[in-house]
Amino acid sequence: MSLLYVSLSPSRHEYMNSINTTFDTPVLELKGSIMTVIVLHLKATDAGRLYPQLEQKIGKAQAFFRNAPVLIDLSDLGEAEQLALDFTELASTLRGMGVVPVGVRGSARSQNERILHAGLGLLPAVKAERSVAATESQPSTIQDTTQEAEEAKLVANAPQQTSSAIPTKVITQPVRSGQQVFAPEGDLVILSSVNAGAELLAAGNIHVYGALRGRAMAGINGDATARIFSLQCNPELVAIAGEYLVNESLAPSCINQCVLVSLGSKGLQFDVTGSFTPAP
Amino acid sequence: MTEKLLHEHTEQTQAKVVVVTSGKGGVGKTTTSAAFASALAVRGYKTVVIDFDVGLRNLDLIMGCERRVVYDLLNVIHGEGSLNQALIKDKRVGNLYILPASQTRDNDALSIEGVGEVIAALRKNFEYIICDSPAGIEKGAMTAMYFADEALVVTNPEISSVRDSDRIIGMLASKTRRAEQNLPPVKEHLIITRYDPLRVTKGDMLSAGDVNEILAIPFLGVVPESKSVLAASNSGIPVTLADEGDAHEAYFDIVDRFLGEDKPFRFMDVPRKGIFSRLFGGR
Ligand SMILES: Nc1ncnc2c1ncn2[C@@H]1O[C@H](COP(=O)(O)OP(=O)(O)OP(=O)(O)O)[C@@H](O)[C@H]1O
Ligand SMILES: [Mg+2]
Repeated sequence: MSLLYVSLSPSRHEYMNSINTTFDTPVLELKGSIMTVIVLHLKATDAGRLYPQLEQKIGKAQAFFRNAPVLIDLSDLGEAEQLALDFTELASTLRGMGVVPVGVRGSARSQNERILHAGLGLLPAVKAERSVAATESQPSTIQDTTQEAEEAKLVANAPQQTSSAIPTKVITQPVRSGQQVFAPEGDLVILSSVNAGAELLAAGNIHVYGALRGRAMAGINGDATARIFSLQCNPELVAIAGEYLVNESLAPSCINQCVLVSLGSKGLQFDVTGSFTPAP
Repeated sequence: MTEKLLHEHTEQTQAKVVVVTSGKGGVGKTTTSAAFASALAVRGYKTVVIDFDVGLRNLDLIMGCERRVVYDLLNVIHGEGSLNQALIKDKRVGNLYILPASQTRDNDALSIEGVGEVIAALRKNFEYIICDSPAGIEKGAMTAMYFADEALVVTNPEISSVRDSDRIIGMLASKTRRAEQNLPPVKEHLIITRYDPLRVTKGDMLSAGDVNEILAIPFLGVVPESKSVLAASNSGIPVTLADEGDAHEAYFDIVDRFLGEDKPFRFMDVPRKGIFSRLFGGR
Protein backbone atom coordinates (compact mmCIF):
# COMPACT_ATOMS: atom_id res chain seq x y z
CA MET A 1 0.00 0.00 0.00
CA SER A 2 1.41 3.30 -0.96
CA LEU A 3 0.14 6.82 -1.13
CA LEU A 4 1.33 9.01 -3.92
CA TYR A 5 2.33 12.51 -3.02
CA VAL A 6 3.25 15.22 -5.40
CA SER A 7 5.81 17.19 -3.52
CA LEU A 8 5.81 20.89 -4.15
CA SER A 9 8.49 21.76 -1.67
CA PRO A 10 10.57 24.74 -2.76
CA SER A 11 13.80 22.79 -2.58
CA ARG A 12 12.52 20.39 -5.21
CA HIS A 13 11.69 23.28 -7.50
CA GLU A 14 15.11 24.78 -7.20
CA TYR A 15 16.64 21.44 -7.89
CA MET A 16 14.66 20.97 -11.09
CA ASN A 17 15.40 24.45 -12.28
CA SER A 18 19.05 23.93 -11.83
CA ILE A 19 19.04 20.87 -14.04
CA ASN A 20 16.89 22.35 -16.71
CA THR A 21 18.55 25.66 -17.16
CA THR A 22 22.08 25.86 -15.84
CA PHE A 23 24.21 22.79 -16.35
CA ASP A 24 27.31 24.02 -14.60
CA THR A 25 25.87 24.91 -11.19
CA PRO A 26 26.54 22.12 -8.70
CA VAL A 27 23.46 20.21 -7.64
CA LEU A 28 25.14 18.52 -4.71
CA GLU A 29 27.56 19.23 -1.96
CA LEU A 30 29.74 16.93 0.15
CA LYS A 31 30.09 17.98 3.75
CA GLY A 32 31.27 16.49 6.99
CA SER A 33 28.94 16.93 9.88
CA ILE A 34 28.85 16.30 13.60
CA MET A 35 25.93 14.24 14.69
CA THR A 36 24.74 11.87 17.35
CA VAL A 37 24.51 8.17 16.61
CA ILE A 38 23.99 5.05 18.64
CA VAL A 39 27.24 3.16 19.23
CA LEU A 40 27.25 -0.56 19.82
CA HIS A 41 30.29 -1.52 21.88
CA LEU A 42 31.24 -5.15 21.52
CA LYS A 43 33.09 -6.74 24.41
CA ALA A 44 33.12 -10.31 23.17
CA THR A 45 32.40 -11.89 19.83
CA ASP A 46 31.29 -15.43 20.43
CA ALA A 47 28.02 -15.78 18.58
CA GLY A 48 26.35 -17.92 21.22
CA ARG A 49 26.35 -15.01 23.68
CA LEU A 50 26.41 -12.02 21.35
CA TYR A 51 23.24 -12.61 19.34
CA PRO A 52 20.92 -13.58 22.20
CA GLN A 53 22.09 -10.52 24.15
CA LEU A 54 21.60 -8.27 21.14
CA GLU A 55 18.11 -9.60 20.67
CA GLN A 56 17.44 -8.95 24.34
CA LYS A 57 18.69 -5.36 24.29
CA ILE A 58 17.41 -4.16 20.96
CA GLY A 59 14.35 -6.35 20.69
CA LYS A 60 13.06 -4.86 23.95
CA ALA A 61 13.27 -1.31 22.71
CA GLN A 62 12.25 -1.74 19.11
CA ALA A 63 10.43 1.58 18.96
CA PHE A 64 13.43 3.45 20.26
CA PHE A 65 15.89 1.88 17.86
CA ARG A 66 13.78 1.49 14.75
CA ASN A 67 15.63 2.65 11.65
CA ALA A 68 18.31 4.20 13.80
CA PRO A 69 21.81 4.25 12.33
CA VAL A 70 24.18 2.24 14.51
CA LEU A 71 27.94 2.36 14.69
CA ILE A 72 29.77 -0.78 15.78
CA ASP A 73 32.73 -0.12 18.07
CA LEU A 74 35.45 -2.75 18.31
CA SER A 75 37.95 -0.81 20.45
CA ASP A 76 37.55 -3.25 23.34
CA LEU A 77 38.35 -6.28 21.23
CA GLY A 78 41.72 -7.77 20.39
CA GLU A 79 42.59 -8.69 16.85
CA ALA A 80 41.94 -12.39 17.41
CA GLU A 81 38.46 -11.69 18.70
CA GLN A 82 37.72 -9.39 15.79
CA LEU A 83 38.81 -12.15 13.46
CA ALA A 84 36.23 -14.46 14.99
CA LEU A 85 33.43 -12.01 14.14
CA ASP A 86 31.39 -12.55 11.00
CA PHE A 87 30.63 -8.97 9.93
CA THR A 88 28.13 -9.96 7.28
CA GLU A 89 26.14 -11.94 9.79
CA LEU A 90 26.30 -9.16 12.38
CA ALA A 91 25.12 -6.58 9.87
CA SER A 92 22.23 -8.65 8.64
CA THR A 93 21.17 -9.56 12.17
CA LEU A 94 21.12 -5.90 13.11
CA ARG A 95 19.11 -5.03 10.01
CA GLY A 96 16.72 -7.80 10.88
CA MET A 97 16.16 -6.06 14.21
CA GLY A 98 15.18 -2.90 12.42
CA VAL A 99 18.35 -0.87 13.00
CA VAL A 100 20.71 0.23 10.27
CA PRO A 101 24.42 -0.59 10.80
CA VAL A 102 26.41 2.13 9.08
CA GLY A 103 30.01 1.42 9.95
CA VAL A 104 32.68 0.10 12.26
CA ARG A 105 35.21 1.96 14.31
CA GLY A 106 38.21 0.80 16.30
CA SER A 107 38.87 -2.16 14.03
CA ALA A 108 42.25 -3.74 13.47
CA ARG A 109 43.74 -3.00 10.10
CA SER A 110 43.67 -6.65 9.14
CA GLN A 111 39.88 -6.63 9.41
CA ASN A 112 39.16 -3.67 7.15
CA GLU A 113 38.74 -5.68 3.99
CA ARG A 114 36.16 -7.96 5.61
CA ILE A 115 34.31 -5.00 7.08
CA LEU A 116 34.06 -3.23 3.76
CA HIS A 117 32.95 -6.47 2.17
CA ALA A 118 30.07 -6.65 4.63
CA GLY A 119 28.90 -3.29 3.28
CA LEU A 120 29.96 -1.34 6.35
CA GLY A 121 31.91 1.87 6.47
CA LEU A 122 35.20 2.37 8.27
CA LEU A 123 35.70 5.02 10.88
CA PRO A 124 38.83 5.75 12.84
CA ALA A 125 38.83 4.91 16.53
CA VAL A 126 38.27 8.19 18.31
CA LYS A 127 40.10 8.16 21.59
CA ALA A 128 39.98 11.88 22.22
CA GLU A 129 36.27 11.94 21.61
CA ARG A 130 35.48 10.33 24.98
CA SER A 131 36.97 13.02 27.11
CA VAL A 132 35.64 15.84 24.96
CA ALA A 133 32.02 14.90 24.81
CA ALA A 134 30.68 16.26 28.06
CA THR A 135 27.25 14.89 27.33
CA GLU A 136 28.61 11.39 27.41
CA SER A 137 29.00 11.25 31.13
CA GLN A 138 25.41 12.20 31.72
CA PRO A 139 23.60 9.57 29.69
CA SER A 140 25.75 6.90 31.27
CA THR A 141 23.58 6.93 34.37
CA ILE A 142 20.52 6.40 32.21
CA GLN A 143 22.36 3.71 30.27
CA ASP A 144 22.74 1.54 33.30
CA THR A 145 19.06 1.24 33.82
CA THR A 146 18.01 1.07 30.20
CA GLN A 147 19.96 0.07 27.17
CA GLU A 148 23.62 0.02 26.57
CA ALA A 149 23.15 2.22 23.56
CA GLU A 150 25.59 4.98 24.02
CA GLU A 151 25.15 8.34 22.45
CA ALA A 152 28.45 9.67 21.29
CA LYS A 153 29.49 12.49 19.10
CA LEU A 154 31.44 11.53 16.09
CA VAL A 155 32.86 13.24 13.10
CA ALA A 156 31.65 11.49 10.03
CA ASN A 157 33.67 11.79 6.88
CA ALA A 158 30.98 10.35 4.73
CA PRO A 159 28.56 12.77 3.10
CA GLN A 160 25.75 13.39 5.58
CA GLN A 161 22.62 15.37 5.48
CA THR A 162 23.41 18.67 7.09
CA SER A 163 21.26 19.14 10.13
CA SER A 164 20.69 22.84 9.83
CA ALA A 165 17.84 23.79 12.15
CA ILE A 166 14.57 23.49 10.29
CA PRO A 167 11.84 25.27 12.21
CA THR A 168 9.22 23.14 13.91
CA LYS A 169 5.65 24.21 13.40
CA VAL A 170 3.79 24.38 16.70
CA ILE A 171 -0.01 24.61 16.91
CA THR A 172 -1.62 25.32 20.27
CA GLN A 173 -5.30 25.18 19.28
CA PRO A 174 -7.41 22.11 18.54
CA VAL A 175 -7.22 21.24 14.84
CA ARG A 176 -10.82 20.90 13.75
CA SER A 177 -12.77 19.10 11.07
CA GLY A 178 -12.05 20.62 7.66
CA GLN A 179 -8.78 22.22 8.76
CA GLN A 180 -5.40 21.26 7.39
CA VAL A 181 -2.04 21.99 8.98
CA PHE A 182 1.02 21.68 6.80
CA ALA A 183 4.68 21.68 7.85
CA PRO A 184 6.36 21.52 4.44
CA GLU A 185 9.91 21.26 5.78
CA GLY A 186 10.22 20.22 9.40
CA ASP A 187 8.29 18.69 12.25
CA LEU A 188 4.76 19.43 13.31
CA VAL A 189 3.82 19.66 16.98
CA ILE A 190 0.18 19.95 18.04
CA LEU A 191 -0.28 20.90 21.69
CA SER A 192 -3.94 19.99 21.57
CA SER A 193 -6.21 17.48 19.88
CA VAL A 194 -6.73 16.77 16.19
CA ASN A 195 -10.36 16.05 15.50
CA ALA A 196 -11.94 13.75 12.96
CA GLY A 197 -12.01 15.41 9.57
CA ALA A 198 -8.81 17.37 10.21
CA GLU A 199 -5.54 16.66 8.42
CA LEU A 200 -1.88 17.03 9.37
CA LEU A 201 0.96 16.95 6.87
CA ALA A 202 4.65 17.20 7.71
CA ALA A 203 7.93 16.59 5.98
CA GLY A 204 9.30 15.43 9.33
CA ASN A 205 7.73 13.99 12.46
CA ILE A 206 4.28 14.68 13.84
CA HIS A 207 3.65 14.95 17.58
CA VAL A 208 0.14 15.29 18.93
CA TYR A 209 -0.04 16.06 22.64
CA GLY A 210 -3.71 15.23 22.77
CA ALA A 211 -6.05 12.93 20.91
CA LEU A 212 -5.35 12.18 17.26
CA ARG A 213 -8.72 11.52 15.65
CA GLY A 214 -8.05 12.93 12.19
CA ARG A 215 -5.48 12.13 9.51
CA ALA A 216 -1.74 12.43 10.03
CA MET A 217 0.84 12.11 7.30
CA ALA A 218 4.50 12.35 8.24
CA GLY A 219 7.53 12.17 6.00
CA ILE A 220 5.53 13.41 3.03
CA ASN A 221 8.67 14.01 0.97
CA GLY A 222 9.71 10.43 1.45
CA ASP A 223 11.50 10.48 4.81
CA ALA A 224 10.97 6.91 5.99
CA THR A 225 12.48 7.67 9.41
CA ALA A 226 9.69 10.12 10.26
CA ARG A 227 7.49 9.13 13.16
CA ILE A 228 4.04 9.99 14.41
CA PHE A 229 3.30 10.25 18.09
CA SER A 230 0.02 10.86 19.85
CA LEU A 231 -1.17 10.70 23.44
CA GLN A 232 -4.46 9.18 22.40
CA CYS A 233 -4.30 7.39 19.09
CA ASN A 234 -7.50 6.92 17.11
CA PRO A 235 -6.66 8.37 13.72
CA GLU A 236 -8.74 8.15 10.58
CA LEU A 237 -5.52 7.52 8.72
CA VAL A 238 -1.79 7.57 9.42
CA ALA A 239 0.91 7.61 6.79
CA ILE A 240 4.70 7.71 6.83
CA ALA A 241 6.54 8.29 3.57
CA GLY A 242 3.45 7.20 1.66
CA GLU A 243 2.81 3.98 3.58
CA TYR A 244 -0.58 4.30 5.11
CA LEU A 245 -3.18 2.56 7.23
CA VAL A 246 -6.79 3.50 7.78
CA ASN A 247 -8.50 3.29 11.14
CA GLU A 248 -10.23 0.06 10.26
CA SER A 249 -6.89 -1.71 9.85
CA LEU A 250 -5.42 -0.55 13.15
CA ALA A 251 -4.94 -3.09 15.90
CA PRO A 252 -7.65 -2.57 18.54
CA SER A 253 -4.94 -2.78 21.19
CA CYS A 254 -3.44 0.54 20.15
CA ILE A 255 -6.70 2.48 19.85
CA ASN A 256 -6.82 5.40 22.28
CA GLN A 257 -3.41 4.54 23.72
CA CYS A 258 -0.22 6.60 23.63
CA VAL A 259 1.25 5.34 20.42
CA LEU A 260 4.42 5.84 18.42
CA VAL A 261 4.03 5.04 14.74
CA SER A 262 7.10 4.34 12.66
CA LEU A 263 7.92 2.72 9.37
CA GLY A 264 9.69 -0.62 9.58
CA SER A 265 10.60 -3.31 7.14
CA LYS A 266 7.14 -4.84 7.46
CA GLY A 267 5.28 -1.57 7.02
CA LEU A 268 3.85 0.76 9.61
CA GLN A 269 4.58 -0.26 13.15
CA PHE A 270 2.55 0.83 16.17
CA ASP A 271 4.23 0.84 19.54
CA VAL A 272 2.05 1.46 22.55
CA THR A 273 3.99 3.44 25.11
CA GLY A 274 1.22 3.72 27.69
CA SER A 275 -2.21 5.17 28.08
CA PHE A 276 -3.38 8.66 28.79
CA THR A 277 -6.53 10.18 30.21
CA PRO A 278 -7.03 13.83 29.37
CA ALA A 279 -7.64 16.19 32.26
CA PRO A 280 -11.31 17.20 32.51
CA MET B 1 -40.32 47.19 35.89
CA THR B 2 -39.26 45.75 32.56
CA GLU B 3 -38.94 49.27 31.21
CA LYS B 4 -36.60 50.24 34.03
CA LEU B 5 -34.41 47.17 33.52
CA LEU B 6 -34.25 47.84 29.84
CA HIS B 7 -33.03 51.33 30.43
CA GLU B 8 -30.26 50.19 32.74
CA HIS B 9 -29.06 47.56 30.33
CA THR B 10 -28.94 49.95 27.40
CA GLU B 11 -26.70 52.27 29.29
CA GLN B 12 -24.26 49.55 30.22
CA THR B 13 -23.96 47.16 27.34
CA GLN B 14 -23.23 47.31 23.68
CA ALA B 15 -25.36 45.35 21.27
CA LYS B 16 -24.21 41.79 20.82
CA VAL B 17 -24.76 39.70 17.74
CA VAL B 18 -25.17 36.02 18.64
CA VAL B 19 -25.33 33.37 15.93
CA VAL B 20 -27.02 30.04 16.63
CA THR B 21 -25.28 27.54 14.41
CA SER B 22 -24.54 23.81 14.09
CA GLY B 23 -23.50 22.66 10.66
CA LYS B 24 -25.83 19.67 10.76
CA GLY B 25 -29.53 20.17 10.13
CA GLY B 26 -32.39 19.44 12.49
CA VAL B 27 -30.39 19.56 15.71
CA GLY B 28 -32.46 22.30 17.35
CA LYS B 29 -31.03 25.64 16.15
CA THR B 30 -34.40 27.24 15.55
CA THR B 31 -35.82 25.83 18.78
CA THR B 32 -32.78 27.21 20.61
CA SER B 33 -32.92 30.61 18.85
CA ALA B 34 -36.56 31.07 19.80
CA ALA B 35 -36.11 29.86 23.38
CA PHE B 36 -32.89 31.79 23.93
CA ALA B 37 -34.20 35.07 22.49
CA SER B 38 -37.43 34.80 24.46
CA ALA B 39 -35.58 34.06 27.71
CA LEU B 40 -33.25 37.03 27.16
CA ALA B 41 -36.32 39.21 26.65
CA VAL B 42 -37.89 37.79 29.81
CA ARG B 43 -34.66 38.66 31.64
CA GLY B 44 -35.20 42.23 30.49
CA TYR B 45 -32.95 42.59 27.46
CA LYS B 46 -34.23 44.13 24.28
CA THR B 47 -33.81 41.30 21.82
CA VAL B 48 -34.44 40.61 18.15
CA VAL B 49 -34.22 37.20 16.55
CA ILE B 50 -33.48 36.98 12.81
CA ASP B 51 -34.30 34.01 10.62
CA PHE B 52 -31.49 33.43 8.12
CA ASP B 53 -33.00 30.25 6.75
CA VAL B 54 -34.17 31.83 3.51
CA GLY B 55 -36.45 29.48 1.60
CA LEU B 56 -37.06 27.21 4.60
CA ARG B 57 -38.21 29.73 7.13
CA ASN B 58 -39.79 28.37 10.25
CA LEU B 59 -38.70 30.63 13.06
CA ASP B 60 -41.95 32.57 12.58
CA LEU B 61 -43.89 29.33 13.10
CA ILE B 62 -42.07 28.46 16.30
CA MET B 63 -42.49 32.04 17.53
CA GLY B 64 -46.18 31.86 16.57
CA CYS B 65 -46.17 34.96 14.38
CA GLU B 66 -46.42 33.36 10.93
CA ARG B 67 -49.72 35.06 10.21
CA ARG B 68 -48.30 38.52 10.84
CA VAL B 69 -45.41 38.46 8.37
CA VAL B 70 -45.57 41.33 5.88
CA TYR B 71 -41.96 42.10 4.96
CA ASP B 72 -38.91 39.95 5.50
CA LEU B 73 -35.13 40.26 5.75
CA LEU B 74 -34.67 40.21 1.98
CA ASN B 75 -37.30 42.89 1.41
CA VAL B 76 -35.38 45.09 3.82
CA ILE B 77 -32.03 44.38 2.14
CA HIS B 78 -33.50 45.19 -1.26
CA GLY B 79 -35.23 48.32 -0.03
CA GLU B 80 -38.71 46.96 -0.66
CA GLY B 81 -39.76 47.64 2.89
CA SER B 82 -38.30 49.39 5.92
CA LEU B 83 -36.74 47.60 8.86
CA ASN B 84 -39.49 48.85 11.13
CA GLN B 85 -42.11 47.45 8.80
CA ALA B 86 -40.43 44.07 8.77
CA LEU B 87 -39.84 43.70 12.52
CA ILE B 88 -42.65 41.81 14.23
CA LYS B 89 -43.21 42.64 17.88
CA ASP B 90 -43.92 39.66 20.09
CA LYS B 91 -47.31 39.80 21.75
CA ARG B 92 -46.22 38.01 24.93
CA VAL B 93 -42.95 39.66 25.96
CA GLY B 94 -42.48 43.37 25.68
CA ASN B 95 -38.95 43.69 24.32
CA LEU B 96 -38.87 40.78 21.87
CA TYR B 97 -38.91 41.18 18.08
CA ILE B 98 -38.72 38.80 15.14
CA LEU B 99 -37.25 39.51 11.73
CA PRO B 100 -38.52 36.74 9.47
CA ALA B 101 -36.89 35.17 6.43
CA SER B 102 -38.28 35.06 2.96
CA GLN B 103 -39.92 31.82 1.95
CA THR B 104 -39.87 32.46 -1.76
CA ARG B 105 -36.22 33.07 -2.53
CA ASP B 106 -33.01 31.26 -1.79
CA ASN B 107 -29.90 31.94 0.23
CA ASP B 108 -27.97 33.37 -2.69
CA ALA B 109 -30.10 36.48 -2.48
CA LEU B 110 -28.49 37.33 0.87
CA SER B 111 -25.57 39.69 0.44
CA ILE B 112 -22.99 40.29 3.17
CA GLU B 113 -23.20 44.06 2.60
CA GLY B 114 -26.98 44.07 2.78
CA VAL B 115 -27.03 41.98 5.96
CA GLY B 116 -24.30 44.22 7.38
CA GLU B 117 -26.48 47.29 6.95
CA VAL B 118 -29.47 45.62 8.59
CA ILE B 119 -27.36 44.45 11.53
CA ALA B 120 -25.76 47.86 11.94
CA ALA B 121 -29.24 49.41 12.13
CA LEU B 122 -30.40 46.78 14.64
CA ARG B 123 -27.33 47.33 16.83
CA LYS B 124 -28.60 50.86 17.54
CA ASN B 125 -31.91 49.61 18.91
CA PHE B 126 -31.28 46.22 20.44
CA GLU B 127 -29.06 44.66 23.07
CA TYR B 128 -29.08 41.18 21.64
CA ILE B 129 -29.40 40.23 18.00
CA ILE B 130 -29.90 36.47 17.70
CA CYS B 131 -29.22 35.00 14.25
CA ASP B 132 -30.85 31.64 13.53
CA SER B 133 -28.51 30.03 11.01
CA PRO B 134 -29.57 27.56 8.35
CA ALA B 135 -27.89 24.15 8.32
CA GLY B 136 -24.83 23.43 6.22
CA ILE B 137 -21.69 25.40 5.56
CA GLU B 138 -22.93 27.21 2.49
CA LYS B 139 -23.56 30.86 1.91
CA GLY B 140 -26.61 31.11 4.18
CA ALA B 141 -24.75 29.74 7.19
CA MET B 142 -21.67 31.85 6.40
CA THR B 143 -23.75 35.02 6.17
CA ALA B 144 -25.55 34.23 9.43
CA MET B 145 -22.23 33.87 11.30
CA TYR B 146 -20.30 36.63 9.56
CA PHE B 147 -21.20 39.49 11.91
CA ALA B 148 -21.32 37.42 15.08
CA ASP B 149 -19.72 38.54 18.33
CA GLU B 150 -20.68 35.32 20.08
CA ALA B 151 -21.86 31.93 18.89
CA LEU B 152 -24.12 29.28 20.33
CA VAL B 153 -22.92 26.02 18.82
CA VAL B 154 -25.83 23.61 18.97
CA THR B 155 -24.95 19.93 18.94
CA ASN B 156 -26.77 16.65 19.40
CA PRO B 157 -24.87 13.97 21.32
CA GLU B 158 -23.99 11.95 18.25
CA ILE B 159 -20.85 11.69 16.17
CA SER B 160 -22.01 13.31 12.93
CA SER B 161 -23.47 16.31 14.69
CA VAL B 162 -20.33 16.78 16.78
CA ARG B 163 -18.12 16.59 13.73
CA ASP B 164 -20.18 19.19 11.88
CA SER B 165 -20.06 21.47 14.90
CA ASP B 166 -16.31 21.04 15.00
CA ARG B 167 -16.17 22.19 11.40
CA ILE B 168 -18.36 25.19 12.20
CA ILE B 169 -16.15 26.17 15.17
CA GLY B 170 -13.18 26.20 12.81
CA MET B 171 -15.09 28.53 10.52
CA LEU B 172 -16.09 30.86 13.33
CA ALA B 173 -12.38 31.33 13.89
CA SER B 174 -11.54 32.00 10.26
CA LYS B 175 -14.52 33.10 8.18
CA THR B 176 -16.14 35.79 10.28
CA ARG B 177 -15.78 39.56 10.34
CA ARG B 178 -13.91 39.32 13.62
CA ALA B 179 -11.42 36.92 12.08
CA GLU B 180 -10.98 38.91 8.91
CA GLN B 181 -10.49 42.21 10.69
CA ASN B 182 -8.21 40.74 13.36
CA LEU B 183 -10.63 41.64 16.15
CA PRO B 184 -10.90 39.50 19.29
CA PRO B 185 -12.33 36.15 18.19
CA VAL B 186 -15.99 35.17 18.24
CA LYS B 187 -16.84 33.89 21.72
CA GLU B 188 -18.10 30.33 21.36
CA HIS B 189 -20.54 28.50 23.62
CA LEU B 190 -21.61 24.88 23.44
CA ILE B 191 -25.21 23.74 23.90
CA ILE B 192 -26.04 20.04 23.68
CA THR B 193 -29.70 19.52 22.79
CA ARG B 194 -31.93 16.45 22.73
CA TYR B 195 -29.84 14.96 25.53
CA ASP B 196 -31.06 11.66 26.90
CA PRO B 197 -28.98 10.46 29.88
CA LEU B 198 -30.59 7.03 29.76
CA ARG B 199 -29.39 6.47 26.20
CA VAL B 200 -25.99 7.81 27.19
CA THR B 201 -25.65 5.18 29.91
CA LYS B 202 -26.74 2.53 27.39
CA GLY B 203 -23.99 3.75 25.07
CA ASP B 204 -26.37 4.86 22.29
CA MET B 205 -25.33 8.48 22.61
CA LEU B 206 -22.18 10.39 23.40
CA SER B 207 -22.00 11.78 26.90
CA ALA B 208 -21.79 15.51 27.53
CA GLY B 209 -18.23 14.84 28.72
CA ASP B 210 -17.30 13.20 25.44
CA VAL B 211 -18.75 16.05 23.40
CA ASN B 212 -16.99 18.61 25.55
CA GLU B 213 -13.70 16.82 25.21
CA ILE B 214 -13.92 16.79 21.42
CA LEU B 215 -15.21 20.31 20.87
CA ALA B 216 -13.30 21.98 23.70
CA ILE B 217 -15.26 25.24 23.92
CA PRO B 218 -17.07 26.71 26.96
CA PHE B 219 -20.14 24.66 27.86
CA LEU B 220 -23.52 26.27 28.56
CA GLY B 221 -25.42 23.08 29.33
CA VAL B 222 -27.66 20.36 27.97
CA VAL B 223 -31.31 20.56 26.91
CA PRO B 224 -32.96 17.23 27.61
CA GLU B 225 -34.93 15.37 24.95
CA SER B 226 -38.46 16.36 25.79
CA LYS B 227 -41.90 15.90 24.29
CA SER B 228 -42.86 19.36 25.43
CA VAL B 229 -40.52 20.86 22.81
CA LEU B 230 -42.54 19.54 19.90
CA ALA B 231 -45.79 20.39 21.62
CA ALA B 232 -44.62 23.96 22.21
CA SER B 233 -43.42 24.49 18.66
CA ASN B 234 -46.62 23.05 17.26
CA SER B 235 -48.57 25.66 19.14
CA GLY B 236 -46.18 28.46 18.22
CA ILE B 237 -44.82 29.05 21.70
CA PRO B 238 -41.05 29.16 22.37
CA VAL B 239 -40.22 26.66 25.14
CA THR B 240 -39.11 29.39 27.47
CA LEU B 241 -42.50 31.09 27.19
CA ALA B 242 -44.40 27.81 27.54
CA ASP B 243 -45.37 26.26 30.86
CA GLU B 244 -42.62 24.88 33.05
CA GLY B 245 -40.84 21.71 32.05
CA ASP B 246 -37.37 20.21 31.74
CA ALA B 247 -36.54 21.97 28.48
CA HIS B 248 -37.97 25.23 29.74
CA GLU B 249 -35.78 25.14 32.85
CA ALA B 250 -32.75 23.95 30.93
CA TYR B 251 -32.96 26.88 28.51
CA PHE B 252 -33.31 29.38 31.34
CA ASP B 253 -30.24 27.87 33.03
CA ILE B 254 -28.39 28.20 29.75
CA VAL B 255 -29.38 31.84 29.30
CA ASP B 256 -28.44 32.65 32.90
CA ARG B 257 -25.03 31.01 32.46
CA PHE B 258 -24.61 32.95 29.23
CA LEU B 259 -25.34 36.12 31.18
CA GLY B 260 -22.60 35.19 33.62
CA GLU B 261 -24.46 33.45 36.42
CA ASP B 262 -22.85 30.39 37.97
CA LYS B 263 -25.45 27.64 37.98
CA PRO B 264 -24.89 23.94 38.67
CA PHE B 265 -25.43 21.74 35.62
CA ARG B 266 -28.70 19.82 35.56
CA PHE B 267 -30.41 17.17 33.43
CA MET B 268 -27.13 15.39 32.82
CA ASP B 269 -27.88 12.23 34.79
CA VAL B 270 -30.59 9.60 34.62
CA PRO B 271 -33.37 10.81 36.93
CA ARG B 272 -33.87 8.58 39.94
CA LYS B 273 -37.03 6.59 39.54
CA GLY B 274 -39.91 7.42 41.85
CA ILE B 275 -41.77 4.78 43.87
CA PHE B 276 -44.47 4.47 41.20
CA SER B 277 -42.26 3.94 38.23
CA ARG B 278 -40.19 1.52 40.24
CA LEU B 279 -43.37 -0.45 41.06
CA PHE B 280 -44.76 -0.38 37.56
CA GLY B 281 -41.56 -0.66 35.58
CA GLY B 282 -41.48 2.89 34.22
CA ARG B 283 -39.52 3.04 31.00
N1 LIG C 1 -34.88 19.22 23.32
C1 LIG C 1 -35.65 18.67 22.36
N2 LIG C 1 -36.43 17.61 22.63
C2 LIG C 1 -37.20 17.04 21.69
N3 LIG C 1 -37.28 17.48 20.42
C3 LIG C 1 -36.52 18.53 20.07
C4 LIG C 1 -35.67 19.18 21.00
N4 LIG C 1 -35.03 20.20 20.36
C5 LIG C 1 -35.48 20.18 19.08
N5 LIG C 1 -36.37 19.18 18.89
C6 LIG C 1 -37.08 18.84 17.65
O1 LIG C 1 -36.14 18.63 16.63
C7 LIG C 1 -36.64 19.07 15.39
C8 LIG C 1 -35.67 20.04 14.74
O2 LIG C 1 -35.56 21.21 15.55
P1 LIG C 1 -35.21 22.63 14.93
O3 LIG C 1 -36.12 22.98 13.81
O4 LIG C 1 -35.08 23.58 16.04
O5 LIG C 1 -33.79 22.27 14.33
P2 LIG C 1 -32.89 23.18 13.36
O6 LIG C 1 -31.50 22.89 13.75
O7 LIG C 1 -33.34 24.57 13.38
O8 LIG C 1 -33.23 22.52 11.96
P3 LIG C 1 -32.79 23.10 10.53
O9 LIG C 1 -31.38 22.70 10.35
O10 LIG C 1 -33.70 22.38 9.59
O11 LIG C 1 -33.00 24.57 10.56
C9 LIG C 1 -37.99 19.70 15.68
O12 LIG C 1 -38.99 18.78 15.38
C10 LIG C 1 -37.94 19.98 17.18
O13 LIG C 1 -39.21 19.93 17.75
MG1 LIG D 1 -33.86 25.89 11.74
